[in-house]
Amino acid sequence: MASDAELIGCSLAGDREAFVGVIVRHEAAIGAYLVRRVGREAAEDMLSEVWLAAFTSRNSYDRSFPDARPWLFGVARNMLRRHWRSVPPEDSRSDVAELGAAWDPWTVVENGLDTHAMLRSALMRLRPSEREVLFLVAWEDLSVVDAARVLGIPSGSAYRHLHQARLELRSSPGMEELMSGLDLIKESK
Amino acid sequence: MNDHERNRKKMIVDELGLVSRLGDVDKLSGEALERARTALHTAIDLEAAAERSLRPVRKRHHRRMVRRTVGIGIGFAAAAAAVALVVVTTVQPQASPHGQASSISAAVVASAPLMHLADNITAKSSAPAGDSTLVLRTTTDGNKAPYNGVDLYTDSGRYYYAPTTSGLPSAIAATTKLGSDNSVKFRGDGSMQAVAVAISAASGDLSAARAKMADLGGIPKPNRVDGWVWENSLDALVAGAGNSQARAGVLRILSTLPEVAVTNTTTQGQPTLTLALTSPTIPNYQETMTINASTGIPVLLTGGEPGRTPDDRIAYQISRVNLADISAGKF
Repeated sequence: MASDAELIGCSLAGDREAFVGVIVRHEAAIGAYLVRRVGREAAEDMLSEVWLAAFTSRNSYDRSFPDARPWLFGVARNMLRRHWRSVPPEDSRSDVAELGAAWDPWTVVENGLDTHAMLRSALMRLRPSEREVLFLVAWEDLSVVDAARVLGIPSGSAYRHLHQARLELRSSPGMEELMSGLDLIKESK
Repeated sequence: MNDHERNRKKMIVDELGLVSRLGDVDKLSGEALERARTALHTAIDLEAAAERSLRPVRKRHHRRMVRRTVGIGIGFAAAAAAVALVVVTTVQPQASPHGQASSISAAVVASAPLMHLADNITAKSSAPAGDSTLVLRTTTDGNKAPYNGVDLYTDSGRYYYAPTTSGLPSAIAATTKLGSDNSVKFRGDGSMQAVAVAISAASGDLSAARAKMADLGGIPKPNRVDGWVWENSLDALVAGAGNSQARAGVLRILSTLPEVAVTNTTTQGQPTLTLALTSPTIPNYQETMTINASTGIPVLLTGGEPGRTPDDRIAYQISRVNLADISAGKF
């Protein structure tokens, strides 16, 4: 099977289907990334813009990287930044403000903790650069090296950001209690 | 691994697990993915159409395009000087696209007619009417019947193409639907970059602008610099035809090419200048760009054997328009 880099090369050589082949491989991942950041409706609109931006800039793709997914995340991230710049402040949302609104795994934990608020608070304590690496690894299933590619930073910096994020989360108020609660859930199953 | 390490490891895994589950979302629907793919398909088709029609002469002769070595170009300058070249300036030694000193730095020959025209254009420059440049092209490609193409370059940096003027409104509408402003650009991107470089050359550092124009070719070898300068400059001349600074800048840049011969001509009764680039390394091939002698606006691009009827020619009609009018079908 041709790599993404090879398909991009074919696209640059005039193969009109090659780039679509790249997109099909990564559309679910990039789509989910956008949904997490801007919600479903805006993500649906934005996905086509990401593909178009990627297509028009494909000649800048470094074809020494066989996998184009980190590059596509980078294109999507640029689109998100443009989007956030264009919306009024009152309409913008932080990257953690509404997370997990539809998910609450701790409803069975009868310890009175507002788990969402606690985790959000913990995430808000992170630096944006730390949060970005953490989310790319935890949510988008990227390696730290690939996350570094998305963000355009050295791999060492990405490792450092992730390490700091973990330390900060670990020391956040209530986190230890929450983790203990989860352990109780696991043990009871 | 001791208990502390085990607990620490479990803690780390669980931290990531917590955050990971916080990001769980339903995937986009198949319909949404399909819509995005359709938009991409449309963009690919549009680009392919623009690619086919944008510059047939140079596409056809792509391999023959004069991307000659600079050293050979200097040698050729002696012959070209017999036509219309005089030494008027010296360009400082400049870095090649990859930092190597260009051999053209020793003695660059500039074309007096082009510099003179550039100065006149700059002196007469005023704010252009409208917000876009409309280029109507009629292409004669070998023995095929002539065919038309329409390019619209907006001052804000967008590009639209349609085979006919009547097709432009729908092309603009289709492109607009594909993305927010400035997020969708097609083949015109490179031309717009060339226009920006040309504008910088109108009154700025000519040597630097010339190097940037060569860099737009994106080539790794310094021995093809002049060919890229010629090709990208012609892009800028057409795409930036509505901007007097762009035209003046292109002429200044082209004046640094020793291979370019300039002759006074007449085209359809109007005084014109014909710029000819003949390669000493590619036998029997020459490209010419004929421009209005007082405005520098492109009139005719040809490619073919010198002294004979060109194999390919593109005749230009260029005017300034308003994007809103074109969108509304008003020409």
